[in-house]
Amino acid sequence: MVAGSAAVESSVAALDLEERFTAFVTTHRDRARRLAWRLVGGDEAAAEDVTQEAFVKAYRSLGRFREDSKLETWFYRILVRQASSHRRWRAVRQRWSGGWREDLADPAPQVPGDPGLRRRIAAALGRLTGRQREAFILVHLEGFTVRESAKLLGKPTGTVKSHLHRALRTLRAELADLQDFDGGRR
Amino acid sequence: MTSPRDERPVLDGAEKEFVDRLAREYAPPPMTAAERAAFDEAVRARLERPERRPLLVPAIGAVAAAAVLCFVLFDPTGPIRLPGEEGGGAVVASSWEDEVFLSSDLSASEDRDESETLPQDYLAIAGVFLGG
Repeated sequence: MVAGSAAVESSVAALDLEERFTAFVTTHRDRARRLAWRLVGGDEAAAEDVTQEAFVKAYRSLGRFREDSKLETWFYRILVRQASSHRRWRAVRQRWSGGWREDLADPAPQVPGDPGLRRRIAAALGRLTGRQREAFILVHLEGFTVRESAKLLGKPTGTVKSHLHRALRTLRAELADLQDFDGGRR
Repeated sequence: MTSPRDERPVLDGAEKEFVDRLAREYAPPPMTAAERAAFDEAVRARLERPERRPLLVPAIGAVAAAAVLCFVLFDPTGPIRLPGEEGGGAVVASSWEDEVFLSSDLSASEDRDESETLPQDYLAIAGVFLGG
């Protein structure tokens, strides 16, 4: 009877875990994929791969986190690391295959907007240091706070602010023409 | 994750406009319902795969390296032969090393392709790893 009760509790816990995970994926899927897409330089397939792998890792650690807010921080930290790791491997692969610089993926052709401009933005972001790029994308493009980004990057808030300042200065210099037309709209 | 007390960088009007434009232009298309379903399915499929063991790859690498090292150091096929020697007349490694490092006639071989002077065992290993 006790064993049966334990089995029922276990299956209820498993069901609870499944529901929690499904809800977690539903809540964070779109934002996570968009963040990954930006971090990997606009590569659709890589963004999907990185995001899915981060969700799998989140699932396997779900039991360790009782609060979803802590799981969320942990999940996005994993996602940022996965994306960073992907960029490094891509750079290594390209170096070995004879490329002299990191080739930035051409964002999917069906994406609305200006593909040339997207490539320029990706290239400018690609020339930042890894930490500058991550801080800029997290705070300015994704809306994370400095404190949240510091947690995700494992750096003090002062360091993140410094990265943000330098990243913004560099990007404004590289993409100066984006500010010259009718409040930024062409 | 966000609380009202969290600090945000202060941007002036032009900076904010610039950042907003980047955020607008540099974004993937929103996921369709079909893409969301496919994504969820792909996550499920990954979950059903056996968990990758991070120690397995370094362990296999270490075993392979140890095997190569054993093969090089303790050649089961016999003593190391002199470069270019096809059979018979085998000499021990120390003699070969003496021949290479103590030879006074090294300058005579400067123009030769060094790969030709590699022992057969090394060439075999190089062939395996470099496909040559």
